[in-house]
Amino acid sequence: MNNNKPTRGHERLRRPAEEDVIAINTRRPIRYNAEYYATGVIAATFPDIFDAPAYSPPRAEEAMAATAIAQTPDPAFEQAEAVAFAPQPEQPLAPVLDLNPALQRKLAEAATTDAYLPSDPEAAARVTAARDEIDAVHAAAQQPISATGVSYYDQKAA
Amino acid sequence: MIKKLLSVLIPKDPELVRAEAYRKAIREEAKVGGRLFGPVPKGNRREFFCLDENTWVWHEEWTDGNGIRRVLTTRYDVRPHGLFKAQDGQPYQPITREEAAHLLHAMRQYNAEIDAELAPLMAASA
Repeated sequence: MNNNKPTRGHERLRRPAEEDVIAINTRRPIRYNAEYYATGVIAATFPDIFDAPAYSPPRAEEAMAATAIAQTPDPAFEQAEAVAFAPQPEQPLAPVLDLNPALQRKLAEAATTDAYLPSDPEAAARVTAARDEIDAVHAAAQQPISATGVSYYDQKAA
Repeated sequence: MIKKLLSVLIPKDPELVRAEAYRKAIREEAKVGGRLFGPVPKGNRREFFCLDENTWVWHEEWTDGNGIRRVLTTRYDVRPHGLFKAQDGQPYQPITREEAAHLLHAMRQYNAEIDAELAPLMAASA
């Protein structure tokens, strides 16, 4: 009998690949921003939800701060919303309109700062990061979100 | 076989590798999200995940009493004027207070569970 066989408790966790670490670190702020925005909108729509004991005062304050951000007029968002809520749009949605407003702003910023790329490493890094983020979201949205093979864009266009 | 061999011999485009890693991260998150709402019956499939900063997706597959496979995908869109959901081609509709409360809990639990699952992995990468 081999008593030296390692058990699960002794196994070392394998070091994740670099691209996986990048993906995880990219996703984290997106996940938390999504929670933050939704909290703000829910707080504005159903404020009594935050009266429950489960929500401590700091949470409620955070929610109200998020509400202010969420309610700030955003022309890009309004444009996308107008298309999404049109009763019977005559034309299919263009993918660019599906892009969320934060990324649209980054795209616009990337376009305007492009000229400074050679001399401004910070701007170059910002542009590259914004483009990577946009590409990643587009790539994710084009992938089937389940075994049905229907992608986010397919659904949007349906 | 040749395709597999070539994939080993020819290095992948770094951008493709990054995009695939990003998709993999979402798929893993979706699995964690699917477990937030209790046990998933055998043969069913449930996914819940954050697609982007304004979109959450719930996907459910099951077999009904007549043996027919059913699929339901619900998308929650966070908009400045409220939280709306769309289900399988149906028009957008605002969500109820009760659903908003459940969604809020689910989103918080989602982030907490994913962070808890990733903590050892990220520690190993440090």
